[in-house]
Amino acid sequence: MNLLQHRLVRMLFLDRRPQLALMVIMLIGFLLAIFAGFFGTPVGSHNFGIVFVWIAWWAILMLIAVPFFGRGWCSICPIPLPGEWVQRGAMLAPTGKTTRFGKLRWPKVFRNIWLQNASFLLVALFSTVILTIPKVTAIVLSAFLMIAFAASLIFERRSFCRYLCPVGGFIGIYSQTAPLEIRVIDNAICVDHTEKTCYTGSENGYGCPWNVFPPGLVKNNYCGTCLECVRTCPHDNIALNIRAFGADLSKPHGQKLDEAYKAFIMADAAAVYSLVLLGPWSLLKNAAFNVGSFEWAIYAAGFLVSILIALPAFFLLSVWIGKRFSGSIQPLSKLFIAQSYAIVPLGLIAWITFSVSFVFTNAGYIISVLSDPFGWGWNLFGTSNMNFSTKFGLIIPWLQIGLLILGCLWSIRTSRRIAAERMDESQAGKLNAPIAVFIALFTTVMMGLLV
Amino acid sequence: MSTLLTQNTGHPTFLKLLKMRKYRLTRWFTSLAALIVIAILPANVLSLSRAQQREVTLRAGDFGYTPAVIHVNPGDILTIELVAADAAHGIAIDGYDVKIMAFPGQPTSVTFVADKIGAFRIRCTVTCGALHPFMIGKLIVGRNDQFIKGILLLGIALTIMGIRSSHAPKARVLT
Repeated sequence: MNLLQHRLVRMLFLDRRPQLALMVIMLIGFLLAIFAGFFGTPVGSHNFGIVFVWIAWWAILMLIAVPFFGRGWCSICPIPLPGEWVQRGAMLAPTGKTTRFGKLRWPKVFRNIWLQNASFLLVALFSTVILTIPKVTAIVLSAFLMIAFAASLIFERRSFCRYLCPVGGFIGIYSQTAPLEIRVIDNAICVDHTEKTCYTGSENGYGCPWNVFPPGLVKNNYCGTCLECVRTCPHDNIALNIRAFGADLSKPHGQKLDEAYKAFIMADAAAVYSLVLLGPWSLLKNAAFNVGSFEWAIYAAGFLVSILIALPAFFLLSVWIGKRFSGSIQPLSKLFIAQSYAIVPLGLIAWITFSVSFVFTNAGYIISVLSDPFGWGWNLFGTSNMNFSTKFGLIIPWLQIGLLILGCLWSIRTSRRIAAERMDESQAGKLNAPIAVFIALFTTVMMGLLV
Repeated sequence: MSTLLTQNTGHPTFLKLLKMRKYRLTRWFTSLAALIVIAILPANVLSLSRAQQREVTLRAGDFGYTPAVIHVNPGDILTIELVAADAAHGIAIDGYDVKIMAFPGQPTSVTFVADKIGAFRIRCTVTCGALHPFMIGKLIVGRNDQFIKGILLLGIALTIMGIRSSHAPKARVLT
């Protein structure tokens, strides 16, 4: 179903002002978080920077935005905003004038998400400190803003979002599961349209900021849902479709090792965080927190080995067994990459279940910091003493169990579908069996860590 | 060129196949029924231990509790003595109406009946430092009921999925 068929929705999305208004609000919140981090209380649970970024924003991102809107967050993210204004020389619609910024193409060797994988791992290695110390959160947020700005001055379009942002990387991979997509309605119209304004821009809008050629869109990964193509298409040939969850995952187009690895990095990181942050072992928490210590080095090594080697190796083993069972003549590497996309729903659900644990419990802090955002002793709305709550303690495990089972079934089904794209049903079933065991084991481990 | 069509398999020994299918179905449904029975069994039916009075000294410090996990039997009258080792700490137990705090050198106790079965997180109630939101312990009453039932539910779900896929119309490659 194309949402843009509805006049009101179309009007709302063609108008740049509501989107800009949301981005500006987010930018103010972002700058406030940086200010609170540098000048507010060092107690994380009473600092706007920590509470709003790592509890409120994270909850909205992982529980609503990513599962239902894919890259919906990217369409209102404030990080690329200042750079984009400078690059375009305009805040709203194109003015016709050109600037000298952002002219270089992103280096070809880095036109993949390996750098995003690396940037996520870098943040993840220090995450226990980032999550709990306001000043470190402020430094990280400022760094995001500055790197994005610098990238916009040098490289064309949203190079930071597309190739560097550690958050954008995983939103992209999980956006394949979202029930929303931007696609061309009729490719024949695009063939006849020589100007290709969706990519080059027009007086109505900018060429795709994500450097995507909309007629070639088959997956959500790199479409930032900014809706510029809707504004620039003179034939109203772009649709905003509602579709089935996970529709992109079994498509055999553009399956790559960098994306496959992203799926493992994310799934394993959710497990490691659940073990370290939500488990009862203070030794692990302190090792992850004391950056630079010997214990931290051991933790970091374990983290990287488990993410980059152990989990992919176990998965490779299950694909190899499946290949032997099924008698498939396809190369193991191709089967491994294709089947890795089955881990995407599992990883998404693992993150949702991990987030449910601390978001529900710590939601009280959101109301508390509204009254005292910097921890300066204010009590603006009389809610500054609100704390965490244990009243969801009995419901949360059952919610997590339900979600994890759903994720497990969804992943197994996806694996089967991916296999069925490449071989007949009986072969697909045999290839799928050991992968289903892998998925069920991962689900069991997550259940053990969270429940 | 081969075409993939979805249709029922048409092997010659139809009766034999029907019997095999019946056997397979019975096997699937027996395992499914067994899993459901275990999943809905109340935890205390499986717990053979007797309730007793228990005292646990819980040391709070370094953003963790020692012991990290407390095991008791369902119905035990549990006394927790909270000893704050480095700064003020507290405990609140998910699902239980238990909340106390202690200062260094001033232990505090709480006594309650561990009448809810399963695993429950113990959380620090006093902002004690950077890792405070993640200062977590665990109380296991009887068995980790939620986890065991979760695994059984997963088993049921996978069994149902198995039944559905093994009895779904098969696709055959027709040339």
